[in-house]
Amino acid sequence: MKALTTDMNASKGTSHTQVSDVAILLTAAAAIGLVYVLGQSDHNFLYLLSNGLPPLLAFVAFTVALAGLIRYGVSTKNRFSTVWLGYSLGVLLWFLGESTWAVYALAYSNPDPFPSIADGFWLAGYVPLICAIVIQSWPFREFLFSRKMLTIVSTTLVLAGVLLVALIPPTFAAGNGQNFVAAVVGLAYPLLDVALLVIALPILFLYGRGTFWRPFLFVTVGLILTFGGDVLFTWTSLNGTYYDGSYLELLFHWSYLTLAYGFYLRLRSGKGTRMLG
Amino acid sequence: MAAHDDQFSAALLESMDDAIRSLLSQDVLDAFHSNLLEKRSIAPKDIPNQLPTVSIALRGYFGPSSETIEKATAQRLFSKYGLEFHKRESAQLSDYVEKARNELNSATASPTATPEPASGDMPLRDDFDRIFVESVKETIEDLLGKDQAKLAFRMIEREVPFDKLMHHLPTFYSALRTTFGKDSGRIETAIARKLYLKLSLQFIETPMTELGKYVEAALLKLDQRERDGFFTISDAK
Repeated sequence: MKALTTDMNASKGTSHTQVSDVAILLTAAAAIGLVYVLGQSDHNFLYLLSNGLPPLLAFVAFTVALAGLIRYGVSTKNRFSTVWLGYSLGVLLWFLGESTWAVYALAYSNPDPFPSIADGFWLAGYVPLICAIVIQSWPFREFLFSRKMLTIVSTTLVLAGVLLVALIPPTFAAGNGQNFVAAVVGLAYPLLDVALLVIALPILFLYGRGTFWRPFLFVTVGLILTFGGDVLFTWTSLNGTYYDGSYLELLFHWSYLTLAYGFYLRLRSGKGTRMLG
Repeated sequence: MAAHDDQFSAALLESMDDAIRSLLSQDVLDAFHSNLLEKRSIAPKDIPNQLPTVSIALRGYFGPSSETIEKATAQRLFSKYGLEFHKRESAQLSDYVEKARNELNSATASPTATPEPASGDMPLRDDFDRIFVESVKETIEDLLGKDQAKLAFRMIEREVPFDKLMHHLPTFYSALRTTFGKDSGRIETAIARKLYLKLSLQFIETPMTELGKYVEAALLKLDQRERDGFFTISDAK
């Protein structure tokens, strides 16, 4: 009878190819984690890894996104084409942010280039990403504001409020010690992160099931990992426990891997029948 | 009557296409049609007759967002016929479609329009056993396709033969659960929906209700119908 239930759930099921894809993704994530664990005693290696790996991973994510854009083109008449363009632009800007930071850190031996052009790229990246999520979820806004979802949205907002209360005063205080731009840039990250989280978390439930949403699901998970990384980064930077090669960086690395995987799924599913799994 | 049904089916199909196109995109609509055809052998023109399967497919493809698609489809359908649309919690597309059909039928019914009395072909208690078995078989075929349905029938008949179904209902319910596992709830509801449709009874889905409860309620309603003095088809003839 397994055959029957399998057929009933055919559209929900995960194909063998996808299972092996996810296995590759998890292996890559675990391998990066292992390198971090093994490299903790070598500070030079950690410095190189911490600054050199992010642009590389961001480049992978952007390349896959670009391949999707080249393959399927951009059409203003197609909502999802615009959405993918938003995600790709966002990742491109984050890649530029990572690269700029790496140049400061590795070429000019400046371990903490804050605020810098890198922050400009990172912050600019949020705009297309948030637009993409909003455009994507807009037709289903009714679902997002249903009774069930309102609980999730309210919980997210409360958590976001707690986060802002915890992060903004110390960030502002730290910024005052440096300059006004540093304070504004420092505040912009948690604010944009919260904006991203408030939209992304509820739609995770919307995309939780349904083969069509699978690529978007991974992209959303990637963005949420970035959010987690940003919060921990701000917090550890403020209390002075952050160092190059800190484990929290794994969240950023895994985020790029997950984003790349989401883009890859889109590239593979394409426009035809496979779009629906 | 057939022309009327064709028109309704075309309006339903058009409503669904419009809903998917506007909520998602033309590409997604094309992919949806191709998928239904390739994986479930449902051509676009058959969609209106295969709504329970289509609903399952929609849920598989779009997850919880399929509720929005179904509601948008129903909304467009009601609007095409100038009917007032009221959203109902946990209602499926087939419920809305049934409601639209009923409202259209009652709106068009007049003493001159329908020659036979509305109650003349109402099934009664004697018709129940046959209609119940038909509903079970048709629902399973609708949901699984003919080949898989045959396998399911064999599994069920190991426990209880279809011609003795009504005498061994608890065994039959248990066989359904063994056969379909966690999908049995959905299948029981679909069977009940079809049964009520065939019996011309109003179906109101209540969460977590087993098929047995629906069957008991249907039998009570049929008894009531008989007491109210409606004739069976055979009596009328």
